[in-house]
Amino acid sequence: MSTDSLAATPDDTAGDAPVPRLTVGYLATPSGADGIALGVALARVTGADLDLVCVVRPVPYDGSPGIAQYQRRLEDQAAEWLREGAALIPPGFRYRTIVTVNDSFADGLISHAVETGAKMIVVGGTGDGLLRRHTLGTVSNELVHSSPVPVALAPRGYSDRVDTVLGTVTVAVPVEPDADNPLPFAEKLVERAKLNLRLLSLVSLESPFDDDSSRDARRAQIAVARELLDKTRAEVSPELEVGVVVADGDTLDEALANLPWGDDDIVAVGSGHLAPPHRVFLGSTAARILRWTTSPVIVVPRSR
Amino acid sequence: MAEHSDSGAANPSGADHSGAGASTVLHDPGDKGLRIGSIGLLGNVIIGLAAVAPAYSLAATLGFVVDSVGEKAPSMFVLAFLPMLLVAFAYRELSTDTPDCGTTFTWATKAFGPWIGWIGGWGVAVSAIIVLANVSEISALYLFQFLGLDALADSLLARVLLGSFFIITMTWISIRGIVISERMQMILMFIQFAVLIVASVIALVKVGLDRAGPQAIDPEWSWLWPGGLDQSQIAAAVILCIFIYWGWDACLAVNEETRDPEKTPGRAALLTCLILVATYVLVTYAIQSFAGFGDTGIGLGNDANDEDVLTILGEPVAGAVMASALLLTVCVSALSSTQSTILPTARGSLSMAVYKALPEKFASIHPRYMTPAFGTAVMGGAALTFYLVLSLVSQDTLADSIASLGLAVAFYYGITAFACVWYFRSTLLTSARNFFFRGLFPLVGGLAMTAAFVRSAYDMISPDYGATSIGGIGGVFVMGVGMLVLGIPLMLACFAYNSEFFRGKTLTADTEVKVPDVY
Repeated sequence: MSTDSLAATPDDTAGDAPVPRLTVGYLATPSGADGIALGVALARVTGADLDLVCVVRPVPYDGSPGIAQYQRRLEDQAAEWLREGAALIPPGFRYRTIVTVNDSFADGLISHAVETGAKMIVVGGTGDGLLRRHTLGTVSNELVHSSPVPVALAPRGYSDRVDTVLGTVTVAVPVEPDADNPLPFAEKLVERAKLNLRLLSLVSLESPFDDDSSRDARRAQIAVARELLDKTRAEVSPELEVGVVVADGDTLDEALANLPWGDDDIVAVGSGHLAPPHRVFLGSTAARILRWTTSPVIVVPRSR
Repeated sequence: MAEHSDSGAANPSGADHSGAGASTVLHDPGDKGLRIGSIGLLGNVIIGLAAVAPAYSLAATLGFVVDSVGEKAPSMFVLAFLPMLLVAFAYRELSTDTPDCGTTFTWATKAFGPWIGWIGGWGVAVSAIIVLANVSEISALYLFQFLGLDALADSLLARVLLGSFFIITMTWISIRGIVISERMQMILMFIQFAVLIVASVIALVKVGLDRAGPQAIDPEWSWLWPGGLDQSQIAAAVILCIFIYWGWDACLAVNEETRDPEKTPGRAALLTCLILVATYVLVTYAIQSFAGFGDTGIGLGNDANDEDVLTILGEPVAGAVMASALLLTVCVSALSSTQSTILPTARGSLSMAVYKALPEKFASIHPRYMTPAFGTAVMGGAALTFYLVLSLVSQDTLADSIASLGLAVAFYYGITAFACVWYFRSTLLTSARNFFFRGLFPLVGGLAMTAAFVRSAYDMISPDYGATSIGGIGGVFVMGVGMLVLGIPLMLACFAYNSEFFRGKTLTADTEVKVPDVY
């Protein structure tokens, strides 16, 4: 199973389910190192193999001599960067380094993930955000609006936490009935990785009135959350802990800021209602969660 | 496409399975427009025309050509094409044998040794720097005029500010790796030619119908014949026309995706040549007939018009809309042409650094943008400095920069042509084709370039040449030859920094041009 896979030899998995793969997007920048650290943390608990992928843009042909040679040089440089990135991976993990050519970094990652059947695409955010926070650069922005595969985002500075052993998956469950639900994905993840599950319910946060009807609404939503908790407990295997956190505060931002985020936490959010079927799309609530959490975030594609 | 894998870093932990890293290069063609499948005749022609930037080239040089040779300007456009064609043959032969981004630098080093090779590479860099200054000045001037801000167009400060902004922006765009798509280039090209040809045809029709005004004269066939001109005039005009065809050889290049690589470059060359020469001659005829050679108003004898000769085709010919279209076309043509200058030159300096002719920093590739950012930035900085100095010192920035640019291009084209002859000297007699295309044609081309260079340089010493004089010597001479001579101390500095290249350790005539190791 998952945590034992570190000691397993390749022959053990023959006949079992194939080893999951993670596509880790890498550039020779600090955020690239963040992505690798998150990939390692995920691989540590799920037993996945890592593909470090660097996407090189094709040099536009303009009639000057030597373009093919120059393109080769770029690819060699990317391979060199990947070797440096691979040096950040602690011993005990299986990985490959791959250079691929595509006009768009995000598209390159997506194609690779789809081709290799990767379970997730892992990237760091861009380099100029606040430490421990999330900022979305061009590539991660594109990914969280178009990927058919879940996208895991590492906050800035996650490379300092390369030894993190993930412990809990916090799932932001929607209260609206038609919003997409990342819970099935989270359940699969905690089963595989033997992690605890924490259901995050965003309850009645925009109402400024403290009158009977809004109190009633809150009570109703808390009841829904409790129900969901019981249902989920029934679905996941009994040795995993399932808790619920009801985010509370006058505004959504305040509620999120007040939430406790542990070092071994990882958050899963679903896609917004604008997502095409089976694609990732960062909705507005998820975007806010991204702003407040210091944990890595997995954005899950819409399931229908 | 080639797959290459190297044995990856084996993980030192000793466990059976861990950390097997194998690096494979997978090529994912994706959706790359022209690059998928093949580049045909049209693609090559567009590439060649885009590199030349016809509207901008005409705007920059036409006035000065007419200034040199009067009504014989059309003949010069035809005549000047010949040495360009001959040197293009040299390019073709050399780049097929040694396809290296270093172009003149690599080929001249292989033929003549490191010192001449370095100076050849420097000549390429100098021409890129000078043209950036000229592009910025023209774009600023024409943009102000397009927006109707004539007061700003006349103000040195405003032009310099906007021009500097253009240089910085173009450099930044190149560093970021943003390029104009092939489709956009095709559109821009079409618009350039459409505007130029339509305006010229209207002008000629008006002249034919006697509706052009009293200054108009009848077009003559004799304008196509370069009779009655002396050496200095011809040399000066050729130096200017070098610029107007500069970059044309891009249409000759072949890569693995060219459809029909035997025939396409030749046909592309023929087509591009016809299109360019015909357009230039047509536009010149239109302007000369419409404006006449009087020295008042829009007459071409009027010195005040030297810079803006192309705009004659605007308002007087077809009104405000055409004038605006023309101004905007030139501005856009100028700015988009920087792409075909900055990128290849940055790659060239990378190649020089790979062979240790320049410090290694020039070979470094930016980890996020994946471009030779340092080399590009240095080039941008040098261009900005040159532009500022030029604007302060020169009486007529455009005139001086164009003439000195022609000198620099003639310089490195000459070196390239001679390098071809010398490098292939042992193969010249093995076939007729080799004799002509590797020997005779480049030799004549090189001699023509040298003659134009020497004659013009000699004439430029006189303080009356051009608009500026510095310390009793013509400003263009100081700028043009001066910039080239500036390469010598720089070369010696590089020698002091790392002498391996100069001692022939990194690049010799026999070096196989391979993909060099990454730093």
